[in-house]
Amino acid sequence: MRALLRGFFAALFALGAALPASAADWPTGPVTMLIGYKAGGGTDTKGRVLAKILTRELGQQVNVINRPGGGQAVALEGFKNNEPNGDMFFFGAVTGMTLNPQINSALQFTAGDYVYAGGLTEFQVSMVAPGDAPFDDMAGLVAYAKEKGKIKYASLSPGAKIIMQAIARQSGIEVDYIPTKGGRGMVQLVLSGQVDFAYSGGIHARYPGKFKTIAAASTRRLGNYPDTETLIEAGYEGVGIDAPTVVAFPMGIDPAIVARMEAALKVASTDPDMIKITKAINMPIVYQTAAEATALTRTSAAAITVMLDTIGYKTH
Amino acid sequence: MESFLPVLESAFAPGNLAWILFGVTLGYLVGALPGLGKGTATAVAIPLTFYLSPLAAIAFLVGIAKGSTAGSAVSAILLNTPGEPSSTPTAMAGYPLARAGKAQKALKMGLFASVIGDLFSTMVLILVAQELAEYALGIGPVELTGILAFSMVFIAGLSGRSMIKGLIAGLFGILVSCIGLEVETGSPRLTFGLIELYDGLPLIPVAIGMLALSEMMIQIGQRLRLQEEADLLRGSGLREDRIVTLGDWRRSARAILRGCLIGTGVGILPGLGASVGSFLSYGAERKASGRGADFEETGAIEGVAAAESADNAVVPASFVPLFAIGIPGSVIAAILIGAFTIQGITPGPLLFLENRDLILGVYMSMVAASLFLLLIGYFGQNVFARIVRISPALVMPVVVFLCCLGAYLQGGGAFGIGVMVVFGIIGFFAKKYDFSFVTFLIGFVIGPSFELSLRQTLGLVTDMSELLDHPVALVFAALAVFGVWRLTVLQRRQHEAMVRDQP
Repeated sequence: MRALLRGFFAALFALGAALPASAADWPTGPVTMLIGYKAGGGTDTKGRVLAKILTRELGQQVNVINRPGGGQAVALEGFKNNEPNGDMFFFGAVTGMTLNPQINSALQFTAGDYVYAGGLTEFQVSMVAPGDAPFDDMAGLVAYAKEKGKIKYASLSPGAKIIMQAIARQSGIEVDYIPTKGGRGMVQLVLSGQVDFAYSGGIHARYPGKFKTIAAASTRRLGNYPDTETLIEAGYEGVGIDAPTVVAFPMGIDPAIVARMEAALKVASTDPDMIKITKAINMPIVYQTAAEATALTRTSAAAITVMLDTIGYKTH
Repeated sequence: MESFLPVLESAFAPGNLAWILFGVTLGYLVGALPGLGKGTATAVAIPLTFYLSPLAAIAFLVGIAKGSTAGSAVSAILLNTPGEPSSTPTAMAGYPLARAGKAQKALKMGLFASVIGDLFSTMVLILVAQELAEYALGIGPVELTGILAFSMVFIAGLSGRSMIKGLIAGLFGILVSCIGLEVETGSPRLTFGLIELYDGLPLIPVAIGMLALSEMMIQIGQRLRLQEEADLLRGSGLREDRIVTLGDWRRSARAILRGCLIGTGVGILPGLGASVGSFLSYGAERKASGRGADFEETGAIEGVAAAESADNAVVPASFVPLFAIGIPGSVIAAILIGAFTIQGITPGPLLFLENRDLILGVYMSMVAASLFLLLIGYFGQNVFARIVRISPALVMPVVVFLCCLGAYLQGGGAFGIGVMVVFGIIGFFAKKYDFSFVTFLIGFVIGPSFELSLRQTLGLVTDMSELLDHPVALVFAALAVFGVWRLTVLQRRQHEAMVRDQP
């Protein structure tokens, strides 16, 4: 009898949980924004401004929690299995989903495990050289490298190394990879003239005159450097890693919730506070609809797979 | 010059001054409690700074460091229980004075010497750090590798009784720092499948465990003794035993001056730590006075002055390598790296380019902290002397609670507490068996920089002859080799002498 009763209540409970509290009314309570970096960083700063705007747009308090670790992996791994009820959404660079799981086999998620509600900004990922470098574009760099025999390249992340390996493979130039930690380390190597070439996540914009932007490391042209060609345009087929910041939900989320978030992001993309903060950190607003963000994520992840295959990358 | 005024305004804003005052008071209080030192005080206070502006946060922590360094003389003199190892000489020369009824005189002299040492060293920091940093911008990976190798030898040789144990502790620190994603390709190292370990072990929980929690474990074992000593305090009614007379000043002036110089020098060299400074200064004064063992039998005001001036001079001077090249010169400086990182600031040569106003503000705040130290110490001494008598049974649970709080907030939740407990246990045994936890911690902090700069060097220097373009690196590498040889010889001699002296 007791087992029967327990079964009855369990079924009732499951039914209640399965029924969304009418997705059309979302959100009915406070919503949490999950950020995969520490408080105080660039993503966190943007995220907190966005949270304020979303609080206004959604009519419910949006709280930020930071779950740093493993380049957003700690946040994303747990988030994948969250109840898809809209109580929590992820905000951060899409490379956390597209790149990281492909180079680290221990991670238990892929870019396809999330539903994307849209994109807001874009890291200005660029190939850069010292301001006094004797070349201005990729062709010039290759000529310079062949004349010199070998160039020194500051590699600030696994992604930065993969891009350069792909370039080296297609152009046949020789590269010494100098590892460095974060944008700050890269800046120091370039400013002190120790390397010829580097990858920048966008930090080089803070040192005007000291850097040349040689090419965009994304598959599309960058908002802040519309005249700079992409690596693909320079003839490097399939080379580039896109790094827009996106809002994502776990699989199984109600499309109505996604649509509501998409609309709120659209408003946020024209908000004066958002414009101010993105100017301050040199990261332009690049609004993407849910469909655009989903498509870009899918093609970007596929492009990374191809790039990893061509350089013969072994996952860890 | 006009850019200086806003800095002055922000540094001396009432809010900022209040935080410094609070920091100095808290530090002095914690320092005055037996067994609680500046490492514990600063590490425990970090979570309090999350919601402060960068300037207020750093000024607050520096205030705590300064206050607790001076405060640890209180329990050293009154209870013969140094708040931390560096106050041991203070206890040796000051406790006999307290037993002779001159506790207040010794406390005051200790305070004056502390403030003078502190102020002197702060001035040196202000004058030297930026000069060094401008030069340090030209220091590339090759030079850094040489400097770091030299620092490790120095630390290993001088922060414990045995160089082998020092090296073991330092290398263990480096090993532990290898945990996490490898920097170039992102492959996980020693992570045992835990994603939480991908970014490496969090510094603050490791530091809190090693410093504070392990100390609490040791103290619990000595609780009864601490309690007895706390009941022993007494004073004399004579005025000349309560104040610092002109004669005392005359006797101590030389000791204080020497202490300032020794402490500052020790602070600038990365990794020596405050203990080396105060012991060196105390030893030099003991030798110069010609009184020998009499120093510890009847007590010596100049001994207190020598130890305390050097002890406090170490703290500001240890920020010189931190600000200039990003290498921590002391445990405090290592913990401050954590505080800077929380605020999104990276210590190192770029600090003066990117956060110039902040650094100037920190300098101003440090001077203010010196003055507050004098005020708090002078007027609070009677109160603090009473706090010393609080039962350890009340103090310890509070400290352990604060430890957990700090580790939870800084180490990604419960995982941070786990890290803290593990390193608390490691720290407990390290202390019991005289493996320097300071060496461990500094190894842990500089490990990643050493690995990175070494690997960069291997990429940048493709031919051995190119090394000749880096004379600075060569000099430091040679010094490191010389240091190992010299220390080995010295220790063998000491060991032989010890064997010979045994009956």
